Formats: sequence, structure tokens, C-alpha cells
Amino acid sequence: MTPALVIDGVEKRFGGFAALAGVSFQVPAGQRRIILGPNGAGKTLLMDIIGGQIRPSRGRVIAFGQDVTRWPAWRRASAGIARTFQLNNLFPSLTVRENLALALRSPANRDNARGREYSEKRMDDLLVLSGLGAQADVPIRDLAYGDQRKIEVLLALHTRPRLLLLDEPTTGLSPAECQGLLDFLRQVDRTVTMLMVEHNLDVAFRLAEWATVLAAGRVIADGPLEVVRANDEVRRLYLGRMLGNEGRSSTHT
Amino acid sequence: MEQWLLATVNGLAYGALLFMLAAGLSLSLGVLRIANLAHGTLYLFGGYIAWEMLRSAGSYPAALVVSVIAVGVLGASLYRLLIAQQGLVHNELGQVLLTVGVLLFLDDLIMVIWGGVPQRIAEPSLLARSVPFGDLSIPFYRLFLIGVALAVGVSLWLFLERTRWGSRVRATVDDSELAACSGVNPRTVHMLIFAGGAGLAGLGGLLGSPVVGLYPGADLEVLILALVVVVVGGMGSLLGSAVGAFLVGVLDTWGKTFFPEFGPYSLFGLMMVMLLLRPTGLLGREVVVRR
Amino acid sequence: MALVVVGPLVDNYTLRLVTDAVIFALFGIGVNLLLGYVGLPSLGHAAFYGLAAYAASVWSKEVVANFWVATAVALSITGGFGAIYGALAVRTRGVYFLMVTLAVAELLRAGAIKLKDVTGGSDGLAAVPRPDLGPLPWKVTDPLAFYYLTVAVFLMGLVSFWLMSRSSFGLALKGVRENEERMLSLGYDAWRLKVAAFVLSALYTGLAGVLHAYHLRFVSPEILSLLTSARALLTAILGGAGTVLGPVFGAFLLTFVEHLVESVTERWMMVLGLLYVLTVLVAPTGLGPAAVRGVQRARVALTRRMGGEPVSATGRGR
Repeated sequence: MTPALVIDGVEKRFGGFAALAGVSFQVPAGQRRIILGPNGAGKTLLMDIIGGQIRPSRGRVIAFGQDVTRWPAWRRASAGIARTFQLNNLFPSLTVRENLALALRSPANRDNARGREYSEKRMDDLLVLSGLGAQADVPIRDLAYGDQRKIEVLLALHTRPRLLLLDEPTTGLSPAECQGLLDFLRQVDRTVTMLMVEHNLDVAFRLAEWATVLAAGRVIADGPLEVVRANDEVRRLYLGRMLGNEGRSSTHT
Repeated sequence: MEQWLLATVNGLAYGALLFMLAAGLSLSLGVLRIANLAHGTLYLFGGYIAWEMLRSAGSYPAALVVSVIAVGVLGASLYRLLIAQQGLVHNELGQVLLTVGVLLFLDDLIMVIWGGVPQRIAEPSLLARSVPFGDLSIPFYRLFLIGVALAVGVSLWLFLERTRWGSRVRATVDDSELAACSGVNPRTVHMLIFAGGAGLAGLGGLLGSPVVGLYPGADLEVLILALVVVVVGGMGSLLGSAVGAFLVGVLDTWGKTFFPEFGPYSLFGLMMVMLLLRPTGLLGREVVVRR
Repeated sequence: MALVVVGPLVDNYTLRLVTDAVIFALFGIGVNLLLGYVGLPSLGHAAFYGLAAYAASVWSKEVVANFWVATAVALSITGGFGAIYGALAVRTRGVYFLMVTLAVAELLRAGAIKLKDVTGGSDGLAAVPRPDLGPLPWKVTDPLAFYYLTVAVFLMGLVSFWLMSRSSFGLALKGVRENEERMLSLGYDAWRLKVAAFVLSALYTGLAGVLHAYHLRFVSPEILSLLTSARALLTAILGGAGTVLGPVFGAFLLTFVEHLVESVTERWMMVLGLLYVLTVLVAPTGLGPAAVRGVQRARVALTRRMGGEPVSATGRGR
């Protein structure tokens, strides 16, 4: 089975500084994986490289068997890649429906057979399901932050991706909203592989099966979630407080 | 051979003038994010004021001082107008509307005061000679222009690198919020930059009129020239304006001397090449967002 | 509809003025496409206006004065030019874009002055023949008939623009304006969209240029100047960018205000300049939105006065 994602020797240098110093791992199709690591480890940078916002200095990014390293951001969608952003990256003066329609009508969806079946009627259904039905015609900027965050994820999903990159999706959400998002993401079917960066470990651990840990631009652990949690080096990295089964996980940003 | 040399000197002199005209525009575009379409009109106004001073007072230095100061003050007032409305910082259209309004107003004012008669300020007799060079005689005034541009460039560099106010300017340009934290008022600094650029344009008006002339419509032509320099040299960088100005000046003069049929197309071509290869210009500060 | 009725009712002089306004409105629509829908402010749209006007004039004078053929030729030239220049220009944005477009228009103007044999130099091209409507039997030799032609073309332009703004393409353009990075991430090739918009905008503007040439029957390099472009941009600013009818309203307003000022004083340039400055200081985002806000405020005040609770614009009473 072709892995959803292969990261092969990816490096990113800024001047003399190596933000990513040779990262390699593979994500099998359908997996829910979390990228862990302290601030500055290079997690969002890695997201940017996979999503196409930034080019690596070295190394390759291979999605579903296609080498997309040199592809511009807009082409990555046709490889099945979609991402959400840490800070809401929406279309402020357009309505909720218009935002989602944009995703739906993306050229990437045209070639995608599943995209064609996904009509606007289904979009309306999904809106109601996520509790935003009443606000379908409201401009995004008039929405509450939590709702905007939901749209942030919905937008990415509407391009019917095969690989979904989630960059700290729960930022700014209340515990109840986090739970809502978690339930929602759990329902997304296995044809979508998920790769996420997330500081809210409560949510992350209930969604992810596998963890890759980055520190100072390198992978220091990569394995099933339980194994990684028990790993001494990783625990030391997090000062033992965040990963223990006994402690409450913190949500430092 | 001599033809090339003469054309090159003329080109450099033209470039010197373009530098004075474009530096202010480059900084206001790149640092202050202000599109001042009345920039060329400042040149024209400065030139006419200088002409008026010469006519009434007869003193070249006096004309120089008065015109530079007058245009500088005009620039400062324009800046105050521009930032009066908070919304104008990212409102390019508002800037266009406002500066076009100023342009129209000043143009008509010039008409009213000076009747729209094209004028030419003669080179001061001191400078109106030729320097022999081999078989050629090079007009001294051209060399003078190059000298002035170099002097202006060096003094600006000294000011920025070696004085306290200069470091304040540099800090504000790099990061105005941070600079504000250390007690620098960015507004004041910005106004200084803007007024300085205006004053330079006014200086260009006096010095440049033997070369470019003063007539209704000259302001638009000067604006365009300054724009091409900014596209080539990059926004927000004094060095970029200098490099761009000399490059444009020399290439344009070569074009006009050796390929006169091509006329303005050498400029057009140069600009297109820049856009193709380096949209930010040679040394531009502005980051063109291209993901 | 008002336009059609007005025609026969007014004298020739006013008719010319209204024709001016309609052509200007079409010009404004072209500019607004790029400005209001894509977010690219062009200061050099006179380039398309003038290029098309010159092309139509030269063709009519030298080859054949058939309206359809001349228009097709002019639009092809303008569209082709727009494609090449646009492909490069849309790599910039904001202030930079503004400046580049301005420079291109001015360089075209210098070219128009230089190419005397083709364009008549600074004297311009006069005696452009009246358009011949080809296979159609109507004649447009009198001002009223020409006015109807202008209105017909304008209405076609307006309707097509309206249709475009509601299409997927129109939505995509708005997306680019709002958040280009996200559009890229969603899979849209923003560059291609911008170039397409650029060319379309050039075509609308060029169409207005053709009408201009036939209306005044004279073209000169002045048509390519900054002032022409700035005026067109003003219609969008005054009327409100990003709406279909905004620039139309702006065009009419501007035409009549300019006319009024011109007939009152010789110093019309100064007065207009002052007016522009004042407009920005009072309503920096345009008169259209300002008017809308004013109306909203009036409604709230009125509702309070009558003892009710004002309902917010979204009908939610927040």
C-alpha cells in the first residue's frame, strides 16, 4: 500500500541556522498521526513544507507516491493535500456558504471523482450538522471565534483531501468546543489520513494513534502513541509533566 | 569611442538627477507605504519657485535654499494630510485620490502664478563651461550633477550611519513598533523621511531644469521616470534608488543616442525585464508575496 | 431603463454629456473588475482605453469603418496586450502594482507621441469616420442614434459583468482578493485567475475606448495619461468598489460634477483637486459605503426616536 506521505531527509536552513536538520518518516494511508515537540522544534515549518508554503533546502516530500517537493502550493491540492492554519485563514467578507463553495469548486476537486458527487446539498447538510446552518449567509468576520475555527477545518475538508494537515486546530477553543471538534474529526472516514500538530494533548491523544516527536529540527521518537508516551527521552523533553497518565495535560501554546 | 564616453557621462548625469527625484519616492513607497502621485509635482513646484527666486533675487544659492526648504515644508504638510485619516495606511486608493487631488491643485496653482509658460533655468555662469577630455569637451554642468548626487548620497549615508537622528531613522525603518518602544516617535521620523524626499525632489527641480525643463506636464513625466527607477532599483532602499537611477539614466541615454527610433521602449523593456526576473527590484525591501 | 427614456427628451448638448457618462461608466466597470473583485488597483487602465481607441480609429480610417470589425480588431489587440503585460504585472501587488500600471500607460503615451505616422503624434487622429453598423440596417450618424448604440453596448457590458460576478469565476476572484494564500492552499492557481481577470478588465475598458473614439471622432495621446486612469479609478472609489453598480453611479456623479465645476469656474482643476482631497478626508472608503453607513445610522436614530429597539444589520439584534 502506498504510504500517504513520505518525508525523506528534509532540511530547511535559514542562513546558517538549520531549522530542520534532516527529518525522515512515513505515514501509512488512513493513519491519524500527531507531530509532537517543544516550541521551535520545527513543527509548523514542517507543515509549511508539506503544504507547499515553503520549499525545503534539501530532501523530498512524497504524497501518495508522487514527488511533490517542487510543486507550488496550489498544485498540492490535486495531490490530495489540504491544510488548516494556526491562525484563522478564511475569507472574511464572504459568507460561510461562499467560503465553503470556494473549497468545493476548487479545480482540485474537478478531477477528483469524489468531489463531483459532493454536491452543494451535502454542503448544506454538513453545515447544519456542525451547528452552523443558521449562519450560512453571514460574513465570516461576523462569526464567533469558535465558529470560525470550525470553518477553518471544514474549509480544508471540502476539497475532499486524502491527506489532511491540521495545524493546532484547537487554538482558542473552549473545552466544550474542543470536544466538539474531536468528535467531528473522529467521524471523518479512513480515506483521509490525518497529520496534526497540536498542543492540547487531551484532544491529540484521543485522536492520534501514532506519534512523531521533533526536537531542534530532528526526529527523536517515532512510534505508536503509547510507546512514545512512555519513552524516557520524550518525557524528559516535556519535563515529565505533560505526558504522564497521572497528571493533567497542560495546554501551553 | 568618444560618442560612448559622452553618452555615458550624460547618462550618469541624468542618473544623478533621477536619483534625487526617485529617492524620495522609493522611500515613501517602500518604507511609509505611501503612493505619492504628486511627487513629480513637487519637482515642478520646486523648480518654479527656484526660477522665481532667481528672477527676483538673482542669487543662485538663495534660490537653492529657498526652493528646497519650501518644497520640504510642502512635503511635510502633505504628509500630515495623508496620515490625518487613519484609514489611509493600507488604503492605496485613498492615497491615489488624495495625491491626485493635490497634483491637480498644485498644477493649477502653478498655472495661476506662473502662467504655464515653460521655463528653463540657465546654468549658473560658474558652471557653464566645458572640460576638455581628449578630443571632446564635456559640459561641466553634467559633471557637477554627478558630483552633487554623490555628495547627497554620501551625506545621507553619513547621516544615517553616524548620527543619532540617523540611527533613529534606521530603527524606525526596520521596525517602527520596536523603535517606538525606545522613545522614538515613528510619526516624526516618517514625516522627516517624507519631507526629506520632497526636498530632494525640489532640489532636483532647480538642478534638473537645465536638463529636463519646467513646463506643464513635466511633473507627470518626472513621476514616470522616478517610477521606473523604483521598479528597477527596488523600493525602500536608498542604495537601490542610486543604482537604479544610474542604470536607468545610462541605458536610457544610450538608447536615445544610438537607437533613437526606439525612443521610450528601452525604458519599457528594462522595466519588463525587471518584472520578469526580479519583481522586487534589484535591492528592494518590499517582499513580494509569492507562495 | 431611465437611460433609454431620457434620450429623446434632452437636447444635443446634454445628450453628449450623458453619452460621455455612459462610456465612462463602462470604463469604470472595467477598472472595477480588477479593483473591486480582485483587489488590484490599476492606475494605468488608460492604456487599454487609449490602445483600443487608437486601434479602432486607425482601422476605421485606413481600412474599413465597420463597427463590428473595428471593435473586434481593437479588442483583440487590447486583449493580447493585456495578456502579456498582465502576466508580468500581476506578480506584484498593492502600491507596487499601482506604480507599474501607471508606468506602462505613460510609456504607451510616449509611444503614441513618437509614432507620428501611425498615430498622428501629439496632434492626434481626427476625422474618425462614423461607425457603419455592418449587416444591420441602422445608421448612427446623429447623436441620438449613437447614444442608443452606446447604451446598448453598455447594457450588454453591465449584464455580462453582473453574470460574471455571480459565477464561480467571480467568486474565485473575490477569494483571491480576500485571501490569496488560502486560495492557493485550496488548489486555485491564483496567478492564472489574476491574469484572466486582467484580460477581461482590459476588454471591458477597451470596449469603452472604442466607443470613445467613435463618440469624439478624435483621439490624442492625452487619452493615455495618468489623469484618464485616475478619473476611472475615481468612479470606483466614489461609487464603491466591489459592487456592480458602484462605478456606474460614480461615473455619472463624476461626469456631472466635473461639468458643473467647469462651467462655473476657469480654475476647475483646482476645485476638483480640493474636492478629491476633501472626499478622502471625509470618506476614505468611498462615497458609496459612506452613504450606506449614513443611511444605517439614520435608521437607527429614527427607530430609537420612535421608541423601538434598533435591529442590527444582520437582523440578529446583537
